[in-house]
Amino acid sequence: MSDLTAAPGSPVHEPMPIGISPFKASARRFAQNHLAVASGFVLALILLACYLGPYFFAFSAEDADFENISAPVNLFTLHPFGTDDLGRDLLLRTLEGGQVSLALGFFGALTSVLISVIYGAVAGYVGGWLDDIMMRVVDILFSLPFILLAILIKVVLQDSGLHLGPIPLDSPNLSLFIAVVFTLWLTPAIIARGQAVSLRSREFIEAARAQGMNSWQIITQHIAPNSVNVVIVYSSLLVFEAIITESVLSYLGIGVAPPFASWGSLVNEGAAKIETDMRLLLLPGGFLATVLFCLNYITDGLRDAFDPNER
Amino acid sequence: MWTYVLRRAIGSVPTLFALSLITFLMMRVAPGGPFSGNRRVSPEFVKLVEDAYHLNDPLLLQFWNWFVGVLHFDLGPSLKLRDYNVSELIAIGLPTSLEVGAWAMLLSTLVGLVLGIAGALRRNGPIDYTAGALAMIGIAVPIFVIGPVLQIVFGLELRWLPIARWDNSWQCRILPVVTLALPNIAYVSRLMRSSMIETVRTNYVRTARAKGIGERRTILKHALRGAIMPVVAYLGPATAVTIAGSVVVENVFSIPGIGRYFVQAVESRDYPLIMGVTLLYGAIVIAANLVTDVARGLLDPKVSYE
Repeated sequence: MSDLTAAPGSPVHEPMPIGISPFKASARRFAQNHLAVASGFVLALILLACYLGPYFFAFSAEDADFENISAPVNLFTLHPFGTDDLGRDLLLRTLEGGQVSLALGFFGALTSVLISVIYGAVAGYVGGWLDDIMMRVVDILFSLPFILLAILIKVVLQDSGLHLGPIPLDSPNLSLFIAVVFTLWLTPAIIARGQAVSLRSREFIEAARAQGMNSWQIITQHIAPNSVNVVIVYSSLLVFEAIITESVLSYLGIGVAPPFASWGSLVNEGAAKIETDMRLLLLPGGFLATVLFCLNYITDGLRDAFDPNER
Repeated sequence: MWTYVLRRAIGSVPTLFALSLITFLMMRVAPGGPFSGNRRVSPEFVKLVEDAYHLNDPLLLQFWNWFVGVLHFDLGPSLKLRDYNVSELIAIGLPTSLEVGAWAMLLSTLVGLVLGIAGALRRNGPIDYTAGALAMIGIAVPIFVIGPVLQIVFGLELRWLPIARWDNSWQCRILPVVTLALPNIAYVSRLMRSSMIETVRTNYVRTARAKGIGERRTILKHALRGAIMPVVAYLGPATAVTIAGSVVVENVFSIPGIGRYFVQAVESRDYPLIMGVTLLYGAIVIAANLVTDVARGLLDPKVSYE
């Protein structure tokens, strides 16, 4: 009988199961985007290489091999991508630099999602003058180019000597992290606030209020969880921006502090030596660009699959 | 229209004031001052120098004095580069920064528009794919990687252009401008492409075609005017992107602009210079957003300001 319902000549579609959840439908749409899925695989591969790869080396990234200084690329030797002018293994240094860049990217994005959702939920739900002030602050911070803000926060915090209990806020790497997060949370905060404003007048919020929940409970248990899904679509974009911001700061020489290295600081070192050895620039730069390519395709895929406004 | 511009201009004053106050307080909560790095001089002497610059006054009084100075177009002295005041330093660096920035904006807008339109009209053709690849590179490869790679290719290998030099020749401007323009080319061409694809499907474009005015006039006179709106709206934020990029590009190519001052100034606690550059950049971004909004109002009859 089903043959009769299909118009002749129309392509045969796979039957859609009934009662599929919106999340599953979106996940399925994402899985059909081959470029995004392939990017996900490449990204996972680079993650694995950066975090597990260094265990396969018999030496550390700081060890100088004085017998093989500036060794050329030779895949079948001890140093497959050669060594730098101090005899340090180039591939190993790039992988360990990747650990810093990727960790900062992912945790920076996660933290800024949390902050922005709470901030947006409070502003959107409470409304009134508090909303005005909170959004005005975001507007003001928006009128500064992000990179200036990041430089200012990073340098000022690093020299501040501030401690939050046992946590030294002034350590070079933590202050870098805070500077990155601080430039990231503005855009998602605006999105989350918009969502909170539209949620505020919904019936289930009214019901929660009628049951005697106070504002903070409503914000943390109803508004914020329901705003996360709107922001999460942009999470891979946030990872992208976090990695870029971190590497720009490191490139300018005010990012991660030695002995740590990140892709940005490695590119900085390499750029100073392009006349003698281009690999120092091209290897970390290539890794960085590949990760950013992947994140960009994943962002596009997520947006096409999950964002209700894009359909 | 003019009342709208006036209202927005007046509205930007409190924003700039708050921006300055935030920057000021953020700088001053950090210990260490512009003169604390000198180990050879006695603390008494440091205090004398600080007193001379009024750095030991109450913070809010200092801010107030700075603000009153700004109202008189006096941004104060530079604490590190003696013999210069902040206005002079900006006057030295700004023309260079503006020159590179303006060329980059012009180049990226024009190339982005052309690539976007060409890609939209010949979808999935060779131009479309080239433009798409270029856009991907512009978005995903940071400019501090693109810059040195261009230096390698055009400076070291081909020897067509200088690697990093700044004089009056046009050759030394090409690489910085192209590097700075690439991210914007990417965004503009993508915006233009998707907007053009949507616009050529609309009824008014079909009407224009039906009148028989020819494909060229249909696209350039009718479709373009509607399709360009998202690009115009992007130009405000694009200015912020370009300024952020110029901080890096000036570093890569050793260009004597204000972007390079800023990093040095923050590290050496040159308070008036930091405040001056922050205020300047904030004002440029706000002005760019205002110009963008006015341009949208002039171009798009659907946007009205009342």
